[in-house]
Amino acid sequence: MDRIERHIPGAIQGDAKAQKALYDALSPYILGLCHRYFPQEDEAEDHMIQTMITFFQKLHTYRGDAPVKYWVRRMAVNQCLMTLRKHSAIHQPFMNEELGLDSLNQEHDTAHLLKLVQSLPTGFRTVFNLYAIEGFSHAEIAESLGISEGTSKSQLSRARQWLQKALVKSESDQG
Amino acid sequence: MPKHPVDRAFQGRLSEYEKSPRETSWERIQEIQLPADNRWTVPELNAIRALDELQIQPKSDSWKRVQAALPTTKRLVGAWFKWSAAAAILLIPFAGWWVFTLEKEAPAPEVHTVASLPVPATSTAPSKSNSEVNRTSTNALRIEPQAPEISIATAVGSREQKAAKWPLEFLPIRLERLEDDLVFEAIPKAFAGINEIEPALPLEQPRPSPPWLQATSPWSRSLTAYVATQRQRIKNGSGLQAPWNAYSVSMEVKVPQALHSFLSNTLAAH
Repeated sequence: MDRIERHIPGAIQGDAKAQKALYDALSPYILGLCHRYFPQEDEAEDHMIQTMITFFQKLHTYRGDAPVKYWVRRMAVNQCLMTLRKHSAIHQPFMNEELGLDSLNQEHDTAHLLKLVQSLPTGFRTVFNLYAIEGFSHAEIAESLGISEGTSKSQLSRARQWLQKALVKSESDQG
Repeated sequence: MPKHPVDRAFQGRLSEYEKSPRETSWERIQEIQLPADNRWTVPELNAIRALDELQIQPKSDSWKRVQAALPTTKRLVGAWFKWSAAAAILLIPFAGWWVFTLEKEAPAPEVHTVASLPVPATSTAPSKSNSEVNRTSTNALRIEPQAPEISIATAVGSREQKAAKWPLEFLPIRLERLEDDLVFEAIPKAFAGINEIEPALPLEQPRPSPPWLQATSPWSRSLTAYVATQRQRIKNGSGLQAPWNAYSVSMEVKVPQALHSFLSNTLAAH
């Protein structure tokens, strides 16, 4: 990551080449993160672009106390949550219906996992991403999404169940 | 302390629940409890790790959209330099052609007449075109430098003195100005056949004196006094004091060697 952070001084000065280097290094990771929150490709792309714009605009405030990757990652999560807070689906009550696994294929790769996560309802998917991947606590998730901690936990539980079933099924199919 | 035994049994583990366990299905309890263990299985951990490291290449036009929103300084400075260079390449030749064209078509300098003077017959005035707006009817006086002529007054004496019939006629010395350190210049002009020597009269216009004709101090004072006296007499209407032979003037003149030889021969002949 050091070779990425060496472009930061030039990018702050407005050097287009330095900015392009940072964009090329960070945009794929940020776009993958946005895809976990937004299944729609255009929506994920828009959030990635807005995140990079915010990153360059606030790059002069970067203190170097953490890798720039995690710094821009936090920006991307906040950017996604700003939009998700407006979604009413994230406040939907606990859903008991069985999540279908018929569309899942036998492959157990990242793209498949991404599709599994994208198949979740918005609330489940958001809580799962924040808790399991971003490392948020339920209290932080509840504060960020404006829900209770109980709702955060229940939604995470449902997401985990569904994911476990999907993984077990894929393993059994492979076996 | 909850009253119901089921509630009491789950008191420590259900403190975070919003409702009592009796009001919640057992499945829900299990689902809520599951995160408390919070132990991910190996497949779950692998999936989570893979999702965390997921990278997807953006579209080709995404960078342009990002760049359009960023006012890069170097981009602006580079654009400024680029446009300045283009403007210089286009404007400098045009400016040079424009200046060159103006210089070729530059009109004659204007002449503003400060004071008009009567143009004497002997002087030459430059002819000027009538195209200038600010020209007046009286042309500015400009006297062409005249060719030096040599004239030496042999003696300021009576008017009866006649000049010898020399091939060159010399005008007498004219008074330049009334000063102690009087500077004389023999106004030379060659005439043929002039028999009289005109008396010395003060000039209306001062003329520069050549360096080889300088008046000596004692003689200048005498002549200065004479001229002053005569001027006063003219003002008083008394006229010039006659005869001229009341005054005698001696003069030392520095002349070139060739002129000295000529004069010596001439005077000797006379």
